[in-house]
Formats: sequence, structure tokens, C-alpha cells
Amino acid sequence: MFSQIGYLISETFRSLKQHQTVILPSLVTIFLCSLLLSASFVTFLGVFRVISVEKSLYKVEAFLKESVSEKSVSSIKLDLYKIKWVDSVEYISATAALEDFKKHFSGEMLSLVSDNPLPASFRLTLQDRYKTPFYLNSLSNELSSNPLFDAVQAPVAWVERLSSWKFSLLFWPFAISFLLLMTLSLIIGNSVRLSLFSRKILVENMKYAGGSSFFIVFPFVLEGLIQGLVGSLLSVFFFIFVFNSLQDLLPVAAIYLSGYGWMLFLVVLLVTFLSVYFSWRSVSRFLLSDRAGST
Amino acid sequence: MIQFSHVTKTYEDNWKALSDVTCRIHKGEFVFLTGHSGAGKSTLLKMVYMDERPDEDRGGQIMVKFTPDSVYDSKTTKDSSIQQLRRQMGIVFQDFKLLGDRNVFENVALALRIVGTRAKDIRPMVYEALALVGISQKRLSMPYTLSGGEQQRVAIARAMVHNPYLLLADEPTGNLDPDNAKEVFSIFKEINARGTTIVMATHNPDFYLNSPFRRLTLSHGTLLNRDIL
Repeated sequence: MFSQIGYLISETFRSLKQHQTVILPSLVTIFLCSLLLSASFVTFLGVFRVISVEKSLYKVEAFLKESVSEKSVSSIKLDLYKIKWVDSVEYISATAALEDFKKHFSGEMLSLVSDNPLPASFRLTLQDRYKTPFYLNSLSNELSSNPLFDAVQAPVAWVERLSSWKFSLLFWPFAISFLLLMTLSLIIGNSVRLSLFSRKILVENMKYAGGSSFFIVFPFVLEGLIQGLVGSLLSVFFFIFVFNSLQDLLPVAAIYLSGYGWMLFLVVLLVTFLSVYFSWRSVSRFLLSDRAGST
Repeated sequence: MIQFSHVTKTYEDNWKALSDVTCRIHKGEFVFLTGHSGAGKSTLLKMVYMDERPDEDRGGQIMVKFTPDSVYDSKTTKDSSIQQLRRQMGIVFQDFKLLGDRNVFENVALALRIVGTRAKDIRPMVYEALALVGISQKRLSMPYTLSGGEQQRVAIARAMVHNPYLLLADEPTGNLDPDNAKEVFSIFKEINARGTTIVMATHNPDFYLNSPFRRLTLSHGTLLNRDIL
């Protein structure tokens, strides 16, 4: 068995060498498809992260006109909880707001004013099922009409924009990935078929001398595996190189796309699996059609 | 060794390649299979190495028996077992089917590598097969440098290298000039004399008219000499 595998591996490399003219264009196409697939998959990752951020955007901040007593805070909170869509209400005192501001921004900005200029506020979040631009807008309007509050902040415009883009952001990378996978499958299948036709006599020799299906199919499947693995690995390395070069130009994108390595690993795995599967399928079909056609 | 019982094979458009063929080929026999082109000779041979099977409905049955433990029935043999059947026979084709990218030795050795013969046994077995067909000196030559007769001898060596019980030859001299055809035929006779059963499809009367061997004649898929069993 092991001596047979050794022979089959040498048979595969003999074929790869002999069919360079067929394999090279196929390898280039696998490389290009894998490159686009890497870009699509990484875009997917970014889109999912943006969508998960979108959920955290469903909050409204209502700033009080003047400071209120602790007793009043509890009473206002109870009133706010009565709004159907509200999930949580958090009171942020003026002191807490100042501390928070200092954490995020330089304290020098506040040295120009003697008192704490920041007002106290209530931060409200929506229940998951009401996290839509409509309810965010409704909550914002309701709080604006409340005389207790001076101003109300809600990222309605952002949420509306993200919500309208969500479909396109998910659909196009998915559609492109699907088309690329189809293209890859056809190219790998065709490449194996061409290789098969040029080695028809070898296949017939194997068949008529009593070669097992494994013996006949193995060199072609290994050939597909090598093509898929080499093509996808080269494209992934090239993608990493290009991505790292562009990272400085697009720092925001880099934040959302950090840890994309496993996506590229998925591309290599998927392309290699497809190569193996379609190589096996092409040879199996060829053997069946060869039998059916041999009258 | 080989028994055909009412074998019928129908292809597309209801064309009958074989029609109710019944015959028997005994162990150690040399049998000619004759008939015009399209008479069904190749189909009959394909039935023996189970590249084709009789019609499922009333197509008859073929039984190939090498030893009491090695019996293949066209009705019960699974596709996965066909490889075992073929490992006990050799097949020679009209077009030689030699691989142009490797030398004579490698062409013959391929048949042994396929069946998993140990590496150390391959060389002596290939040399013996090449000696049998008288082409040892050409073992390192590429097939395209050989004459038609030499190429067919390499093909015979490849078919005989694992000492099969049965040798099937489908028009083995069809592409050869008369001198080379005679040489190839004499090799077949020698192989048969050593005990291998041979079924040779041919439409060259020079071989079978003055020969002591049995002849099965097909015409439009029907066996003419049904009495010879």
C-alpha cells in the first residue's frame, strides 16, 4: 500500500510537470479567485462587526435642564421605565459626566471654565426587539417633548444609514463569494478534465490492469489538492502583504478588520476542499462516461 | 473457464450488439473470435472483462472461473470486484495503448505497480515478460522509437507480466504488416503452449483457416457455430 502511494505521488508530480501549460493558467485563476474571495470574506468580517456595533447605537441621551435631587432621579427613572420600548435607564450625574469627559479628553479644555459645565443626563437603551430606526426616533421625540430635558441626543441618522445599507453590505460580498466559488469549481473541474483527456491511455491502462478506483483517482485528486493549496496560499500571502501596506492609509478599516487571519485560513481550507472535491468528481464522472461510451 | 449463457446486449436505438450468445471456452484453449467489423467481437470480449454487462432484462449470464475460489458471475459480481477479475487476465488491444512518456520497462512495470507488486519483484518479472516476447534489448527504448510489431510485443509483455490465467486480444494484428502479424501470432501460440487460455478476436483468415484452434464466428451479434460448445 505504501509503495503504491509513493508511486502515485511520483505519478502526480510527473503529470504536474507534463501539463504545465494547462496547470499554470488554472493556478493563476485559482490565485485570482482566492484573492477576491479573501477580500470578500474579510469584508464580511468587517460588515458583521459594523452590524454588531449598530445594536449598541440604539441609545438615547437626554440632558436635564437643571440638577435634580436624588429622590427626583428615582421618580424620573420610574416614569421613563413606563415607556414601552425602554430596556434600561441610567442616571449620569454632572460629576460623573465630568469624570467621564476627563477620561476621554484632555483636562486642559476645562481649565478655561471655573464650574462643571456638563449637565446631568439619563441614558436610555431600547429593548432588542425595538432596536429599529423608527423606535429610536420615536423615543427621541418623546423625550424631546418632556419639559425636564434641555436636549436629547440619538444617533438616528447613523442608525438609519446603517439599516438601509445592511442588506447591500451583506448581500454583495455573499453574492461575489458564491460566484467566485462557482467559477473556481468550474475551472478546477475543467483543468482536471483536460488533464484526464491527455492521460486517457494511462487511465485505461490502470483500469484494464485491475487498478482500484483509489489507484486511478488518487493522482488526480492529489493534483487538485496541490493546485488548490498552492493557488490559495499564494493569494493569501499576497493579500496579507497588500492589506498590511494599506493599513496605515485606512486606520478605521483596520480596527474593524483586525484578527482577519482565521478568515484567510477559511479561504485556504474552502478552496483546497473544493479543488479536491471537484477533481474527484471530474475523474469519477470521466470513468463512468468512459464506460458508458465504450461501445 | 468462460461460459456465455444466452447473452444479449442491446445498445441505444435498440441495436443488438450480441443476441442470445451461448458458448463455452475451456481452460488452456486457444479460441479465435471471428466475424466482420461490427459483428460483436469487441463487445463479447468486453463482457469477459466486464467493461460491459448483458442486458438487465433477459440478457443472459457470463461466468468466468479461474479457480474454484475465483469465480465471477456477471449477475452477481459487484463493480468493486471487477478489479480482482482483471488482475487475473491480460488484455491486448489493436492500438497497443502504450504510454509515450515512459520507456518499455516502465510501460510493462506499470501493470505490476497497479496491483501493488513489491518493488524488488518488479524488475525480474518485467525482464521475464520482455524475454518471453523477445524484446529485452529494447527495455530502455521509448515506444515511439519502436516499430508497430515491437510496440505490440511490449503490449503483450505488459499483459503477461503478472502471469494471468487468461489473455484476451482484440484485433492484436490489425495495425501490423503481415510479417509482424505472424510474429505476434507465434508469440500468442507460445504463450498458449505454456498453459494460458487465449481468446483472440481477428478477421484475418490467414490465422484461423489453417489453424488447429477452435473458431467462434459472430455475425450481426449472433454466434453462427452454436454447435461448438
